[in-house]
Amino acid sequence: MTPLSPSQKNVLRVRTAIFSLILIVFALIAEVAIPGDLELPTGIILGLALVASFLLIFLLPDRRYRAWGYDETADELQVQHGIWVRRRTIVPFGRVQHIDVSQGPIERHYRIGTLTLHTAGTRSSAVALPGLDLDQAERMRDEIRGKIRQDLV
Amino acid sequence: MKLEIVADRRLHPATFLTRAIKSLPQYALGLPAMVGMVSGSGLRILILIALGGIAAALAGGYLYWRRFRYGVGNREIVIESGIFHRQRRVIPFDRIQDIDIEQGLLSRLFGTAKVKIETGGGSKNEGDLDSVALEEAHRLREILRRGHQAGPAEGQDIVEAPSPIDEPLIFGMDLRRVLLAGLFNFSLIYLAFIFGGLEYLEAWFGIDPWSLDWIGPARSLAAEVSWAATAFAFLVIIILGVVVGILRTIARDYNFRLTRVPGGLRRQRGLFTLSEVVIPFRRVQLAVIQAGLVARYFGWYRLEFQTLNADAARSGHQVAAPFARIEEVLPILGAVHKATMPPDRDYVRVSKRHILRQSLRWLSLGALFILGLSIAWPPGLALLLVLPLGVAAAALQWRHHRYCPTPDAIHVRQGWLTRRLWIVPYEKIQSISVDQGPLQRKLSLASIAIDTAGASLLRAPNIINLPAADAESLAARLMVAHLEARAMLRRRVKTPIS
Repeated sequence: MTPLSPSQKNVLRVRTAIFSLILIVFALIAEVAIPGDLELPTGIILGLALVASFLLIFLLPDRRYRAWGYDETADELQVQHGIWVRRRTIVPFGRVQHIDVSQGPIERHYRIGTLTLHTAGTRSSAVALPGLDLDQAERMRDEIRGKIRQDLV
Repeated sequence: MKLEIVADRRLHPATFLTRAIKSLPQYALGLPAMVGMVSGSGLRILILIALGGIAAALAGGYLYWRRFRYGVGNREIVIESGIFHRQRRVIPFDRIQDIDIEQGLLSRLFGTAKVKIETGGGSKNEGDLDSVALEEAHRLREILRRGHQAGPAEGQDIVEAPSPIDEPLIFGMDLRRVLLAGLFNFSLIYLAFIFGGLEYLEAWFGIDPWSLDWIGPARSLAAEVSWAATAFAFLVIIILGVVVGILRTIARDYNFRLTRVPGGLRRQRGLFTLSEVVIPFRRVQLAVIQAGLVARYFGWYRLEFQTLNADAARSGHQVAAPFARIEEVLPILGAVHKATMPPDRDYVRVSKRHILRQSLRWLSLGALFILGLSIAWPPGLALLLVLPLGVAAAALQWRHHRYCPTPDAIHVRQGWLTRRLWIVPYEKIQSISVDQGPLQRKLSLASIAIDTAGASLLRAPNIINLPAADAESLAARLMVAHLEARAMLRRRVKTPIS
């Protein structure tokens, strides 16, 4: 399996950092707002939020990054991801309806993009492969586009 | 194609009346509120309000009819509608997925029919003509169908459609069969609806269906012999369930006819509402043969086809035979795609560790729930005794979960209470996933999910808890079979059919 672009780790980290910031702000509010007679030790909520933030920023992005992988063969794309439930999806190019290359603001900063293959299926109607260098994503898109066959429903 | 198509056709004039009548219940819903508002001002106001409602319904019906026009061009159909907000919708023939004709009780009275044009665009009522004369409906369907089947994307040659009478009957149900099917359709769910309706009555009119006052003397009797009353009530519920099942089945499946038309199957059925659906062969994604425990024992099966249909309301499953012997099911299946039915011994079971995994899941979740419950309600702890049933269920699940890759399709069988056999032709597979949860990793198991177009999220031909290595090789094998089947299809399309 080919790993994603290393920049994807940073993208994931920035995302969890933003989430952690919000978490810490809420924890601070909770610390101030919860009345003292509840006998909670001072700082316990904030402490928990800080521990969670540490895990979110320093451990989770690496593990998530390592869980991702893809494999492009002549006829199909395989995408693997998931820490908890590991899923590998195989999409034959002949069944692709259309392809997107998309970029969020954080992804744009690191010049990477997400390639999404849409099929007529239900459960895996959109198979997303994030964290590709943008030109790599565009190259793959053009390559796969050439293999899409419109002749059969 | 640049030529503007003139929408110069109107709906059947009776539409005006049928729409008005159909919209009356809406006005009736508002009635209790109105009554509440003007309570005490007498009957005259009430009658005035009712007359006003009828007038509004009639006006609405008339305006709808007046402002609705459609026109058929060479390659597309145009529909203009909307009373205030005008809308002009153009549906190219080659985007049309399905054309259904439906006749409700009112429509049959006036000799009209509703034409439903579906484009698979997801939204409901994308192109409904409600309603046109029955002959016009048939004419439209012929035009639309021929138009879109003549498109370049097809893999079949279309012969001129013969008149419906000559169509060979593939499967039909006489009244006896429908009645029998009704017996097996025993349903308590609808009773719940009826009782729900009774509650509604109470809220509206102050009648309490649960107080037995209105039965009078029966009540005092019931108090004396309460066990008899319970047994009696139970019996009544069972009988009601059977009756409701039979009535529902007759209403839906009366005069069920499945006939063969060029490039597809035509299904007609219904007592009050006649419905007619054409299932085009090339849009069939997979077949499901299913049977409940009891029906299976007596040898009755149900055949459904999953068709490509983005309209979620119809869930993409079309019944081809609601209640049939297996000998009747197989020819229908054979008409749609090559189907070899492998003998039972060719089916492969999933890993026996399936029982272990499902049991562990069930036991841990169930135990957590019961322990949580017992904090609030200590006697709940006794429910722990029920947990071993979960193991039995897991074992039954395992016994009935099998698969078999045949030359043309993957067969997946699952379920004990309701057993389903999925037949997925290789060329119809959209994608394949191999999933592995944490517990599965420990037990070295993996599940395969086969995604198809129009599948429901709840029920799909998934093979759960295979040995991990088998899952990998089966996924690879399915993908190879898929690619080969597609390649073969392409070759067949490229060679001109003379």
